[in-house]
Amino acid sequence: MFLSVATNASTLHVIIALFVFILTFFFIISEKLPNSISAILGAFLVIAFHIISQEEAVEAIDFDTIGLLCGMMLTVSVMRKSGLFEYIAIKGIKLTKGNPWKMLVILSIVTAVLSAFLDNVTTVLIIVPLTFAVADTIKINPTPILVSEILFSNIGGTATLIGDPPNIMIGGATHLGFMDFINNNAPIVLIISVVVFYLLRLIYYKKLTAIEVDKEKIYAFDEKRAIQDQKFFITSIVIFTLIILAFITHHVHEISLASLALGGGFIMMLVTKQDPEEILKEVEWPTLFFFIGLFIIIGSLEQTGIISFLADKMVAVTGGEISPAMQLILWVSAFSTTFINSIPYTATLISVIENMAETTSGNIDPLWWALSLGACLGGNGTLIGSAANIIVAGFSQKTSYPMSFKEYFKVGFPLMIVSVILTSFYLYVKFSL
Amino acid sequence: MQVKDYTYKDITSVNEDSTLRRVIKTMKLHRISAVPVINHLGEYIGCISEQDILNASVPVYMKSIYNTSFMANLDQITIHLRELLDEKAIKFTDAKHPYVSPDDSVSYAGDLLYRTKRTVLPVVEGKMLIGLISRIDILSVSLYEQNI
Repeated sequence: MFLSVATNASTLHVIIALFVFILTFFFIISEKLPNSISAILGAFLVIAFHIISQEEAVEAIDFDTIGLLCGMMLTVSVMRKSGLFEYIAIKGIKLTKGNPWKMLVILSIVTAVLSAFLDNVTTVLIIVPLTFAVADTIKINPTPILVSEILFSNIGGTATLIGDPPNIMIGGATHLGFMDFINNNAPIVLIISVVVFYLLRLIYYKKLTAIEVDKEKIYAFDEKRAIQDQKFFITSIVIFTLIILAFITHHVHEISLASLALGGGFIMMLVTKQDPEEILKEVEWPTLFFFIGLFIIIGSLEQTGIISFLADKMVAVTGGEISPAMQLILWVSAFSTTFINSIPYTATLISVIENMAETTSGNIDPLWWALSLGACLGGNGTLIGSAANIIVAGFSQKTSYPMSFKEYFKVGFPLMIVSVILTSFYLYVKFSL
Repeated sequence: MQVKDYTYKDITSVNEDSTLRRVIKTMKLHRISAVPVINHLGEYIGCISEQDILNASVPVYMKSIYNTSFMANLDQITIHLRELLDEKAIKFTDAKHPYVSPDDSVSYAGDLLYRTKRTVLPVVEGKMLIGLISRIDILSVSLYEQNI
């Protein structure tokens, strides 16, 4: 039955490939090994057992994704030094006049906007320490604000191609461009944001405004101290804006996003006179190798016919219809990424959807949007749902307000479900009517 | 040239059971940037430097922010530090703080200060503290000696 699908590969190959895939997934989920080691070890095994040849392995790596990730990491690590993010945060905090609920809203909006253009982990690494500093200054419990920031780092990241790893991967693998993501994902992201703010208000408003806080203290924050070098500050903003503009106008010049990001990153280093040695050290090489390893493992699954088997099953279940397939992918993605890492999940699904395209007639774009929205929003379900959540949780453990899995789950999980229900309607209205 | 020739023979120190309050008072009174800690037998067990106290009192989030824009006022440090004042010295003691013996060469002491970025090294003979040697003690060697 199952093995009969593997027409161009031996049974042994199928077994080995599956075994390596499951083993890698096990190590990633159980966190018994660092992700990059699990993935590269798996990639080594499939090559060593000749499941996939060296050339095929290199071909399986999506260098658009790797290049885009690497380029953005370079750009952002220069930007962080400019003080722009602290500057925006302090300006925002002063707008709230020290009202804790408004602070939650403003910091969440800043988080959402930043994570739409930076990756989520970088965003929370910037915002969370600032949140603790503010909470400590006006003496409030930062947990509600942190929960909201986690939610909005994932929600905001959903809106653009560069906002969240699943989107970067989908952008790398398909013809979908920067503006396609904004056109399709941004409207639903806005709707979800409004609803989530409304629900957070019901949950936290009383709690946050019950205590009298020393509002005046926030005016002691000095946004001018964030900018150490005015010229550097301005130049980095200009270059970053140009990079984003180049992304937006991709359809005009047709330069790949990976090239734009890498080129932009190095130009950023050039004009701000940064030492490349120092900036290159800040690239998250483990993340890049994690991606590389996963691409090779998924390549081996494709090679052995396992992916096309899954794709055929998917087509069979949904009767080859786009609408039910779209809803299925949305919900399965949301629940899967609530508990497992969205990166290997998305890598696998991209391959499955590409295979489905071969046997499905009609436009499969709705399936990409379902995967993107499901995989990004699903990360909000639990404290381990996405890398950003894990970072926030880890950071809070070192402070006097450690966030527990349960504490987050009570708010995050229901809100994740609400956001996926909204998405489900949105996709239905957009593509099924 | 040996360490003992340049040792500042002051055995200002704090007991492991002293409070942090006492430690800070001692450091301020003697204007030293690190104070040796001794146990109840009078044996040297480590040092507490200004840096160790700062590390304990500066909130975790401050260490993750790139600049000082979020230092609203000194409260963020003083309030945390105030909560620690009655804790025992042993909690802040750096048992791995480098030290030298009186028979070590001055160049070794200088090298150690430079490499470990410390300001002062306790001079310990056996287990007993006999004094301190600081950066300025090393630097001032140049004032007196022609050949080293």
